[in-house]
Amino acid sequence: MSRHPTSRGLTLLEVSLSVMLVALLIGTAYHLFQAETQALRSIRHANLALFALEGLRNRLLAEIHAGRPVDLAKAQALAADYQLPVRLAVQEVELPLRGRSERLLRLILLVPPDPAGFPGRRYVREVLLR
Amino acid sequence: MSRRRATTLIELMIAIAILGITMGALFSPVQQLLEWSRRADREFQNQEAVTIGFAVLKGAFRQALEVRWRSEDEVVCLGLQDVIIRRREQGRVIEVAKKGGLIRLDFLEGARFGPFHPVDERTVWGAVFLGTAKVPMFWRCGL
Repeated sequence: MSRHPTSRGLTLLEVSLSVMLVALLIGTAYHLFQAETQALRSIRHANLALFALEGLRNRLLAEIHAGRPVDLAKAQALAADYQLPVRLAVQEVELPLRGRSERLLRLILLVPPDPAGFPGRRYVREVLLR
Repeated sequence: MSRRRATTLIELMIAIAILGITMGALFSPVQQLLEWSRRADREFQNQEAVTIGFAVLKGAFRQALEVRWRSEDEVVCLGLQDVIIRRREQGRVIEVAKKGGLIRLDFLEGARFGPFHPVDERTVWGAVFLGTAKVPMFWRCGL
């Protein structure tokens, strides 16, 4: 039964409201999926950092264990072997540890900010130079 | 009896214009959503497999005192309990076998492991392919 004896179909207001609600629904779903995309991107980079940083750290430890000299230039040369979609940087830092100054190599995986506006990240692992 | 006024041409054109603009604006996001939904679930499983696999392998090496390279597809972590690590299915699967159990790590499409190479008594390495990335992964015993 129609709402009004002379009503024929939908009014412009009803059509506009329906379109607006559908647009809201799809827009919300799109934002949800964007958040999921970002989560997936973070997981990918975190996994990459796990392997890249742990692998390079173990490689440097093996070099140190073998008695070969390890310094910033050597670490940077080893880091160049890694084919990554993001930058793997190495820094040498001096920190007071156990009451004296110690030299560390800081391995940093730098994830740049996303064009969609999501912030960048830094994953860090350190190797103590003896 | 009152009669309801019919929709005018201008109202109809406005409605069509709103519909057209809306559908045009939504077309690309909807396509992206459909494409995404096809891939997202699988990709989450891939990445989960990579994370778990890394944790299991790192745990096996951490508890070991020494590693023995047997072949490009097999290394043994020697410690309180020996752990055999085998590379299967062109590196898509890694098996971690120890007394009383076998863990089969299927990396799906998340990672692929290249052959193992010996380095020293505590270290082995093998390339790991993670998507477009290639990581020379050095596994080392102890902390």
